[in-house]
Amino acid sequence: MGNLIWKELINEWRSREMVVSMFIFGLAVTLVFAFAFNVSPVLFRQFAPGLLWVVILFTSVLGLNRLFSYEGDMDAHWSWISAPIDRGLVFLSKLLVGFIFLSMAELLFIVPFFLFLNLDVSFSILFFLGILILGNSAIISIGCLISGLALRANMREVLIPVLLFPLASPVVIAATKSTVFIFENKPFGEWRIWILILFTFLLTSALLGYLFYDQIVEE
Amino acid sequence: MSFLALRVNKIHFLLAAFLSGINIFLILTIAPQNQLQPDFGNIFYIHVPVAWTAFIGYLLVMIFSILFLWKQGQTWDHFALASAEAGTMFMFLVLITGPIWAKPAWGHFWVWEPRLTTSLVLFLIFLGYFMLREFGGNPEQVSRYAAVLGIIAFLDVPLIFLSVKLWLPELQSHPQVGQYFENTGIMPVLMINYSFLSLLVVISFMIRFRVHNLKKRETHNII
Amino acid sequence: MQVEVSGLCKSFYRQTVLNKVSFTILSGSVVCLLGPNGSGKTTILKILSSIASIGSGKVSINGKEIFPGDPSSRKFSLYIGHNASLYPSLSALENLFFISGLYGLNASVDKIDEHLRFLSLDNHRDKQIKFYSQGMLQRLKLAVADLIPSPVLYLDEPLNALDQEGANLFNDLIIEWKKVNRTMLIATHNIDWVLGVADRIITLKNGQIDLDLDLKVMSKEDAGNLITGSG
Repeated sequence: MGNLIWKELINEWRSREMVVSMFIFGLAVTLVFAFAFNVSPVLFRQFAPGLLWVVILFTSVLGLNRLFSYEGDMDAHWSWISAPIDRGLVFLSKLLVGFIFLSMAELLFIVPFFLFLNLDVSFSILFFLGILILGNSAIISIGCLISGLALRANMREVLIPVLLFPLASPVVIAATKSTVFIFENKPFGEWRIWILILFTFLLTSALLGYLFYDQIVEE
Repeated sequence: MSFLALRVNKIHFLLAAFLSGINIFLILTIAPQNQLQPDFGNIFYIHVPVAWTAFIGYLLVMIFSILFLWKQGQTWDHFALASAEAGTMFMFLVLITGPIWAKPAWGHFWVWEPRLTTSLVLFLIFLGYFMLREFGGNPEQVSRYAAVLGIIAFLDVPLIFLSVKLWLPELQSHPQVGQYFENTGIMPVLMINYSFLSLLVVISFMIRFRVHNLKKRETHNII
Repeated sequence: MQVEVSGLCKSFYRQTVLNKVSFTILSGSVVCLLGPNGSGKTTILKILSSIASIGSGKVSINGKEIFPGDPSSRKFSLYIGHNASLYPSLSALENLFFISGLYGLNASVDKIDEHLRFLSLDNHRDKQIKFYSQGMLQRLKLAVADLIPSPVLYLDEPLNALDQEGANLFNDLIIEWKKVNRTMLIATHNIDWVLGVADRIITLKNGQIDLDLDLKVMSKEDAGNLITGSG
């Protein structure tokens, strides 16, 4: 497993494709939002959680596409498909690495996001980071599963968002809701249920991915 | 041999046709009406059973998908695809009848009511399911991909429903449905509705299954 | 290790690619698969190495049936494909590290260097392999086959793009591998080369076995004539 993660990290380090492209894309979407929703700062504060998660969802599609497509260059994935390892571990390593890359890109574009939209930071940063971590991993886990399914499709770029957006709708709702509560500095007890939903989603999709990956990768 | 040449199919078809006549007659005449929702509310007798059968269709997709991954028989795959198609057709009817009912009852065509929203999300997922079937690559693999997706889609239902329900808590889930069950004479009519629509879903399932089987036979004969 | 294939069928895009293919490869022998493009050579190798699923039929190694999804059934075999099956952005050294890790070997740098030097790639070991030429990639694949001591080896078109020196090195390697009793199944087009190394030749036509020639009981000339004759 360490071997697999190391491979992914080196690959990304050499090209820096995923993190950089996700960051720039996130920035661009933020800019478009700032133009499109030119309303009062007070209203913006209410929109912001939703916008943030839309940006994250969009950027994740970009990263997921790349995370899986480079396996097909030189048929590199055949090396681990035919090797005596549990292929579910490959899914888990993709999940972990995808999470790391998405979070890195996010940390880069979240500062401009707050600046451009003139949002003041008067909430618990710790909670906010927590919800980012949980939301990212939930999106990436269902995303990795879908990208695995769409791996050999000739319309992969279209199929991934078409399947991801409806399937991930509980994540978007739950993450947005929790962010709203965090922005309003509400006590944790009021929005505990959303965290529970996110956790359930993350665990189910990670488990299903781990179990089914074997079936998915074989030709 | 045509579909109706089989006796069981013929009986099934005639029974469904007969029941559909009775069904419409019942709904338009003697079905108990709701005080708060005159005439227009009678769409309840179609909308609710259709929604149920659609969800059962998707449940069957999951069951057949599991069986396919487990037993590896192509028939299971055809079963799963046929139920997905029947389920999606009914889900489409849900999404048509829902707004027709919502407009006079709530004043808007679309209300983010949990059941209706869950139906919409599922419908979208299954549009993606058919895209995957069509463009996913080599058919032998796509069967496996689709099976996995069929399982995920249904497992996602409770989470979608729960999150939509909590998302807009001020929206009650279908107050109208509750009102209908206050009527005493509702059950017999509803039972006939259900049996009719179940027959309809089964017959569309069988037709689609037959189509897939014939398609497969045809391509194998060419080679 | 002995490899047994019985009644193997497989279809892609609803086209039959393999139709009831059965053969047994004795332990330590070199078997070559010949056949025109699209005759199913690569598909056989991919199924044997668990990259493609078994349509129907049975494959077993040393009497133990292999199942998709069972990691232990992939333990004894190594597949060296038509493409490199390596990561373009990784260097030769990193790729070999990665592969050896997959097979639970965790080879040391010295050991990998040794294999790279044999194929005279040691000067390029830190270069990303996307900058490699086809011939160098082919050599690197042979280095992988040499590094992983799997008892069964499947090679798909190993001679492609190899220069004369590379081909000689490959022949040396095959002799080395035969000494340690490695079972080899090689798919290729090159009849002359095959006649030189194979213990047995299987030719495929439209997904079925056409000829099955044992070079221990027949002369190379006869075999060559039979193969070119059936074309």
